[in-house]
Amino acid sequence: MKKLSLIFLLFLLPFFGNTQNIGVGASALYNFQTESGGFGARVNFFPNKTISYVPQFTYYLFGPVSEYMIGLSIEFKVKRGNTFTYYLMAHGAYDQWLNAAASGMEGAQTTNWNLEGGVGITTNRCLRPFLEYRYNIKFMETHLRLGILYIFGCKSGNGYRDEKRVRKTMVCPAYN
Amino acid sequence: MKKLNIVNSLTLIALIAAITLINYSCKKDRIEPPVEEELNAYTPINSYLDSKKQDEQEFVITGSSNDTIVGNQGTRIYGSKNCLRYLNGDTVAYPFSVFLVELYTPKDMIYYQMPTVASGNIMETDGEIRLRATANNQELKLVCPYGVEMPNSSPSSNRTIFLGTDNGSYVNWTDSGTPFTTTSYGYLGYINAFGWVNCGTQVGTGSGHTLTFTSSVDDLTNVGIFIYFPATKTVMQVYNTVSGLIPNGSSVKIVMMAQDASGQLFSYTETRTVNASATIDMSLSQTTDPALTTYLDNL
Repeated sequence: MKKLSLIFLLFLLPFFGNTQNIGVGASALYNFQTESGGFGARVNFFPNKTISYVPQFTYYLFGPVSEYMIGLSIEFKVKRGNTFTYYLMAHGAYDQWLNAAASGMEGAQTTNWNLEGGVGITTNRCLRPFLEYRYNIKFMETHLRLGILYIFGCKSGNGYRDEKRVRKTMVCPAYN
Repeated sequence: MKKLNIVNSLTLIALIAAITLINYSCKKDRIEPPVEEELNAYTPINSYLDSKKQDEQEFVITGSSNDTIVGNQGTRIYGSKNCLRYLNGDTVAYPFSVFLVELYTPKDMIYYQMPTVASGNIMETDGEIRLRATANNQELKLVCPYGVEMPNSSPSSNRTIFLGTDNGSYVNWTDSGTPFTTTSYGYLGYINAFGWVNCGTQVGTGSGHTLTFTSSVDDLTNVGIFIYFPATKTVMQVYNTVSGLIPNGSSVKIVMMAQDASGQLFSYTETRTVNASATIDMSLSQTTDPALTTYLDNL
């Protein structure tokens, strides 16, 4: 097990440092149809590339529906402005609906596989707020995610870790 | 630049339209209470059963010459004016009236809602009668026995007099311990009080299985549910959709009947052997009075 963890860490190592290939984030969630709220955590691989891979964990614990999901989003940047970046996403997730038994929905079950599509907006800074609007195809529900993503290897207001190479810009230089 | 702004505006409009469309197509199924399908509703079956039940026969006794009564189904009543008193103990003078209800077939027992169950144990029965008397519109009581002779072509030797007590919901039978005597006519017994009399034998032993009735299409609240045991000529009525104890291995015929607000009759019938408790999920079908009557005649 220790070996496995070490290998995993070694695998992740190249993503850290100055490469800005990884970000971590947290978000607040609200599902309009189930009227439930929760929180989420995510890791964003290649946040500055056109396509990003975002494994994430979400947990709805406030409201009538209690569930957690473990899934992967693929983000596709459709427009990158000086201030904002707009992206589309597709998301697949394993969904453990904890109180499915209490639901009046026909065929409600604890274990589900969800597919979502959505749009998002974020900034280009090192600490990036983001807002996502998603549609869950399985349950035909929409939800919002408002959160913040921190990009490793990027300094807000600087862009470089090396103070000697400070450039007065808010945009991460690795962003292309 | 202007062209770019137009494109951006159109994109924004398209996005808002898409979001609006998606929101309209959303479902709140996961938190909304299930839509309960409206069940078929029926009026209480009592009015139909009452319209079909045996009439209470009245015999006006004007003198000692017509003290002996014979009901229209053959029940003989032997008694005299001397055995009758008003409830306050006063003696009775002619004329007085004797009233008789005779239930000898399962059909008549069902119509009268007079099952043959004694404190939860099924009874084998050869008939039920109800006897009462009045004078000057006042109920009378017995101070010495009246004889009742119930017709039967092959009487059994172990029948006793069961007395019926109305507990507010149904008539429960209690074994008086007084045996019927078999005669060439049938059963002869003597009663010391007016009321319901059953010529029967308890066959239930306090154990058995139950049948529970459910329906996803019919509201069973006002449905009459009866279980007939051909082997023992037992009639059981089901209250609140759960039967009484049915001895293991009993072959039974189930008949359910209902009537809607327009007077249309509905029924469900089934024959089964009961080897375990079970839930019967059923749905009623339209029927007619002649069809239902024929079924009950052939129980």
